[in-house]
Amino acid sequence: MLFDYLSVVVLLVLGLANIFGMMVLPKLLRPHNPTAQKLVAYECGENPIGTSWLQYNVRFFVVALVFIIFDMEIVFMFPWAVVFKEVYATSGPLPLIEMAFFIAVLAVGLIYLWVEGLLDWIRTIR
Amino acid sequence: MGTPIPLPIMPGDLTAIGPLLAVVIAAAGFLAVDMAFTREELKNRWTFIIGIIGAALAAVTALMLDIGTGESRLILGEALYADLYTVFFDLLFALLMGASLVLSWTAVERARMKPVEFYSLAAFSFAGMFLTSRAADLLSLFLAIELLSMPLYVLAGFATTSKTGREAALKYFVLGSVASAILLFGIALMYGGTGSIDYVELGAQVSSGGRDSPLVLAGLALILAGLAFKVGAVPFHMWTPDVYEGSPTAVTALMATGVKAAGLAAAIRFLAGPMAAALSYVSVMLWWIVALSMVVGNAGAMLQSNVKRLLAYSSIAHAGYILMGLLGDSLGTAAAVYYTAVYVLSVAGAFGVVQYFGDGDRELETVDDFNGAAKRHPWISLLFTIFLLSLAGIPPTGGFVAKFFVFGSAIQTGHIGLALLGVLTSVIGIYYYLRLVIAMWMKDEGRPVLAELSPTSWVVLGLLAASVLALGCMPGWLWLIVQSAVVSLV
Repeated sequence: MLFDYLSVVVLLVLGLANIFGMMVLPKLLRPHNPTAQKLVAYECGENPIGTSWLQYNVRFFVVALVFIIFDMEIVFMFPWAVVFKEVYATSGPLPLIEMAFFIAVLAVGLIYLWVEGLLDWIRTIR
Repeated sequence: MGTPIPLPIMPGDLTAIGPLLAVVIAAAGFLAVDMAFTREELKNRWTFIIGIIGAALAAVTALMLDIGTGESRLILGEALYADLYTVFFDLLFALLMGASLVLSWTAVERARMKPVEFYSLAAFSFAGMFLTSRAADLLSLFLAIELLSMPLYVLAGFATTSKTGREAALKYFVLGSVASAILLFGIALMYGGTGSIDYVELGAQVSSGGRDSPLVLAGLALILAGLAFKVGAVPFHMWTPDVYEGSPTAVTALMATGVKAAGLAAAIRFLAGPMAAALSYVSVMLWWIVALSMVVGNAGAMLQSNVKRLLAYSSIAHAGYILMGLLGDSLGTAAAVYYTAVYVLSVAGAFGVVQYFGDGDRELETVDDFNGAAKRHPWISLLFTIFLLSLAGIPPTGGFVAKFFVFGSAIQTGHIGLALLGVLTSVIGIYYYLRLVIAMWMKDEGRPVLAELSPTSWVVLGLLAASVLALGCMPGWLWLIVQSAVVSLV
């Protein structure tokens, strides 16, 4: 049975060979001529100011989280929508009620967020 | 279009997940209450009403389930079970939800949490707990564990102003995520070894030679480790004392009762059900988990002066006692379930009392803070003493009977050493539980302050104490129920 996993090992070896090949081969082929000019920011790039370890505004994360939640909702609704007609033929409106319940629970959460003012981009601290 | 597809829902299925629906609707109802009212009193009143209705509906729908001849019924496309075992734990969790609503209210407000937010997150966590006892495949199990954990990660960090609170939240979240990953990895290995995640199919595979596959055994060991983390058994207990101490007391009460019972409900269902045939292969691992939990939990509790840390270590020890039942036969499994019920009732009561002691924003923290409590507040001290004696396992209480059942089944199945170790560590347990009792009844100095108890809290605390005593004096009826509930597991 372990033989079935041989393909995994082959893939692993090929993957590693690919990565190291791409790192080692250019090293052998390319000319080596570093200058200070090559390290300067390129085309539209700007020289960074300060450190990148900044404190981000928490609103970005709230919006991202809400986005992911409703993204996942769509993921769940697609297979439901695909088979809905066939299921409706045998079970009546039950699947519709189920999906309505699912969306309602999420919607209450969204409305709560809205009422609490967490969706306002400019927000006064309460 | 294609052929009509029958929906895998039978008419009785929605009743069978009634408790789950009740708490989810209650959780959404809490949020609606928060939006609908602006005045705090109205919010609080409706939060309480909706919570009690949700808990009561959960209990009623649990009782409405048609158990039939006592065999397990698979519902919702064979994803969940419905049997006496689920009814038993449904009632336990519904009771806990009601108790939490009544007893934790003061502590919630003292920790500057909004009751609406606390109870809505708690209700989502309870939905996960209702799911753990009825999981019938490994994905349902994982979903249940996650659903119960996620709201608690947030709740643990509700005390944003305290340093220990933030530490507790981060610790619980990071370690909990690792435990979930381990659980999921175990599930993946189990699926790789058997080609199924379904409990029934897993049981058939395991008993017909599947247990000899290294993949299955590795998967079982990893799942056991993931569940042991949720239960807080050694060596996966490191988070327990710090998280219990740092979290607001209302959240700690929820963790010590609900989460632990839910983790045990899932573990017992999984290990005594489909994995029963493979259990002898991991019994060494289980033996060490049990032995170390009892020793480390009790020895650790002995060294604590903080009450919440003390109860945290004692909960580790109790996890060990309960898991000991799984090493035995079906009587041992029944003993584990019985012990879980008694433990949950006692700890709910003990934390219920602890939550009321405190002065303004300050909670009573050390054992010495309880000095002289009985002089000032004799009745509540008496209730606290009953709960502590039950945890220590002193005869007229349920804790003694539960320990008797567990040790008895361990001796019958040849684990005499383990039973002896259990008795010895229980003696250590008596030492630190009685330290609290002595502080309350025999010391004079100190001025413990008691928050005002509403009549409902007296009723709930009294009922909890009465049931703990009843389970010690007349254990027969529950023992019979538990035994027939366990029969449906296999």
